[in-house]
Amino acid sequence: MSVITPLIIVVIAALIQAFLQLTPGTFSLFYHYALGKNSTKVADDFSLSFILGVEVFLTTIWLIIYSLIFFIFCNQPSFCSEVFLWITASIFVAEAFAFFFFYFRKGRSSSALFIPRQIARNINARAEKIKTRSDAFTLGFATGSLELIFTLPLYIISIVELMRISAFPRIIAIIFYIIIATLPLFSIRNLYRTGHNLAEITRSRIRAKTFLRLSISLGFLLLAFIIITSGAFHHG
Amino acid sequence: MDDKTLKQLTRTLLLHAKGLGLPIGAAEVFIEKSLLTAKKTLSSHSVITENDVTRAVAKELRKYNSDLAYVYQNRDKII
Repeated sequence: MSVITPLIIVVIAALIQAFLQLTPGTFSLFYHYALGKNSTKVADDFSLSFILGVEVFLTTIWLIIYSLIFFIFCNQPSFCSEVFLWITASIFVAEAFAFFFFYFRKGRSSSALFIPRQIARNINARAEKIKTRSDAFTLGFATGSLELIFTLPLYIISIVELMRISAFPRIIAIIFYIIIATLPLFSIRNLYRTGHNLAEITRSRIRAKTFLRLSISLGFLLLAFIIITSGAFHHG
Repeated sequence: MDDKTLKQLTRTLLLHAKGLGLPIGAAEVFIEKSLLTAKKTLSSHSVITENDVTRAVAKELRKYNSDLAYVYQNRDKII
């Protein structure tokens, strides 16, 4: 069994997740409010708690899905078949279209995302009221869950593919995934620390909207293509 | 705009100004000036909506600091 195909799928999935905008958007907003209410040192401290919250969410959801898939495949090995791969590939095609048309809301000057406006306002209010590290941690954890509609299939296919390879590269790949997925948060934190502000970060996110829309949709389609071709290869 | 709204707006704008790294002393001065001018502009309106307030305040703030005006006007559209 080749290790390359599962690793390529995991890297593409991690890159797609890294480009998603809800967590970085919430993080930049949260950091802005944290700087507005506290010293730079405290804001930095809170930001690490937020990132930790996102990472803990990622790890938790990976372990839950890993257990579920392990249970399903142990009892029904035949289920890990072309049917499963076709279903997953179809979901990715649907996600590609959903992302292209619905992820960003209309409006050239806005970086507003697909989540309902009431939820966005609640996150905004929550981000403004953060006073402790545990608040920041919870916000990070909750933000991770809001994007599940786009990330859940990525987790599932990454785990299914990683189950095909041996334990050591599997653990390395999982760590690698979590690092790539949270890299934008460290990058935003670094931007704030080097004197950039929310207005600049938001404007750059808006400038990148078309690029992100195209690249992530193509990423989802590419994943679907790789899954189908690798599945056909595995099953002869 | 009544005094309560003005106080609340001042607090919000100062929070954003500090988040943007603007000098607080200067920010306090131009926020007060902007709010007073916006209040004067809106006083001729018979009905004032939240959007009217946001637009008028952002228009005045833009004269002093475009980043603060941008963040204030788009505060609900960042995510």
